Amino acid sequence: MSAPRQLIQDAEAIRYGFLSARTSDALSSVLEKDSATQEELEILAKAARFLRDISDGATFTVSGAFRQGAVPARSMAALDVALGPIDALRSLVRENNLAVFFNNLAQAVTAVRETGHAREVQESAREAQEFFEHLNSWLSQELKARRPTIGRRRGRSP
Amino acid sequence: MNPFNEEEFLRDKARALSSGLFIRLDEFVNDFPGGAPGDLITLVKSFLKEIDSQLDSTSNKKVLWGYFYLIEELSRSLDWLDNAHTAQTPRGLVQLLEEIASTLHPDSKLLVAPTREINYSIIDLIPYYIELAEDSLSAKSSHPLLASLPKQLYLVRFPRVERENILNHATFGHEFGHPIADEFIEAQEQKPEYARRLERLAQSIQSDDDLKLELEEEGGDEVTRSKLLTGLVDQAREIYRRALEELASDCVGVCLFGPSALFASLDSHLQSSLDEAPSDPEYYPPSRFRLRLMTQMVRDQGYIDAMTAMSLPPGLEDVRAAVLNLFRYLDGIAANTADEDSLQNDPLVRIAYDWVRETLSQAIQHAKDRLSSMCYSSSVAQSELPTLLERIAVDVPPNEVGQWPKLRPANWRSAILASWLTAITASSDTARTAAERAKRIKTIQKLALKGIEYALLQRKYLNFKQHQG
Repeated sequence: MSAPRQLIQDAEAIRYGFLSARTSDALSSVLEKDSATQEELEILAKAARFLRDISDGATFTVSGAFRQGAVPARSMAALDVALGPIDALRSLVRENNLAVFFNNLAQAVTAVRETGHAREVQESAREAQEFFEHLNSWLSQELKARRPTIGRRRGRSP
Repeated sequence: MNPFNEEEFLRDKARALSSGLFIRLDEFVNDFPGGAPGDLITLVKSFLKEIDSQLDSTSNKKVLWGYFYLIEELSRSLDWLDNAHTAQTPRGLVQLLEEIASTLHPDSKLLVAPTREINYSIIDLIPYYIELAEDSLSAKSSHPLLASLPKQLYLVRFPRVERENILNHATFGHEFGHPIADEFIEAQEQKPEYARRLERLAQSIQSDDDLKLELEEEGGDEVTRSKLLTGLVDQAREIYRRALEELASDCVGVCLFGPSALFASLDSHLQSSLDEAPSDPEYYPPSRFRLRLMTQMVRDQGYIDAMTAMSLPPGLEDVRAAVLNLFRYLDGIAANTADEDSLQNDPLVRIAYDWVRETLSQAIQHAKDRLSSMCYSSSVAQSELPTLLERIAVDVPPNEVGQWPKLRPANWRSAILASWLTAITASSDTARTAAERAKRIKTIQKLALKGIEYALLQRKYLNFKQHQG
């Protein structure tokens, strides 16, 4: 007797799948061509907001307190999605703490969006591109696992 | 001959799937020229047109794969439409659902589709479609498709095997509570105190001996520790949220349907353990916890007093005795605290339910305030039940009260409650065989359905006549 949650979860996975694929593509293009189209700038605006939310969520888990102005429910949801590709994240975060890492990515993507190029933030923009690439692969696997296509019978091991 | 072009193949395949879905939806147009099914068809077809228009400019293989998932997701609508035929849904049920929706959520649309699952649900499809459209169709958040969506489009599902059992459809009172509980929770999440409450929640998790150990043993590096802590906080939030949703919705059910909501709930909860702790993925509160809360609310709203005091016609005294016996049974369920023990056994559930206890009364108050005029009062029950019980006893639908020529349509909630009371009496009549009891209960269900249909139709007609002057 409840609203089916799976419906919203599947829609979220599809939504973030598009966002990650388009952001990764836009960042690759900006890094390569040193300029951005209007559509790429719009994608990067959404990506920057998503990264800020992740950073807010990470600030909470690392320090135990939310940043002033953070939206707790949205931040926690964003962090939950971002921590999906955990193995890839471990190698990306390296010496930074998680909140600092995502804050750097958010700032880099914001800078690219504002200037239309990545000259001053090359390294962080490349890390952001890599993060979205990993996130997209992970979401793709998740969606595929929920809906096996050919040959797998439900309830039986392969 | 050109080499095989993978991108072109993916675009063509996506177009073919989109076109296939479009044609299948068109096949429904004659069955559903308008109403909620018509709106759903139009909405999904708009999505498909957008996908088609964007395929030509898409060269990213991962975005093209995304369209396959999106089209598959949009195909869910076929299943809903397949089941939305009126032959699958009693007219009385549609009437009562529309009656509630028009008061609680004016301008909303209802798509009623039974399901093979033994479960009731209501979901507003608009947030789902917004989520699907947000990043998939265009980079812009002000996409025209989002602006053209209806305000609310509720998908209403009920167990197909219980189709004719209108008495159990009192569960829809609970289902209509979900959007109201969601309003409360979402408003809470916007308040500054919510951040502070989550901080306290994280502290409780990190200071609990068992959970602390789990975090220390498995959380090696910061990323892993963050994932573990996020997982625990999210799980506790979900347990809390689900408890508030279900418990506040139960109270909405009692407000809307009176004791019928409790009886329908008991019918369902008795089919499994009453004391199971909330568990993944649905995190339902223990059934005993819910029955205790609903029984208390039925008592507080004066329904038990009303049923004790109602003046019953000769020959129907056993109705009162059967109903009071059932309440004694419910009091016994409520007095047992085995559910509390299961809530204490799991540390995360215990922490989440400490939060539930802090907030539950506010959630219930919000639900009551939101319903106000729509609530079914115990005084209406007390005045209408005797006549309606008398009608059912002689196999007449419970749709009217009063004395001829001053008859008036009964409150449809009274029609359901009178039917419930008769059914409870019939099911405790051990002088009859099981087959006889089942047959009598089937007859009561049919009478109830007719009673609701007639009462709502009569009221509509009277309103029309009044409007005509």
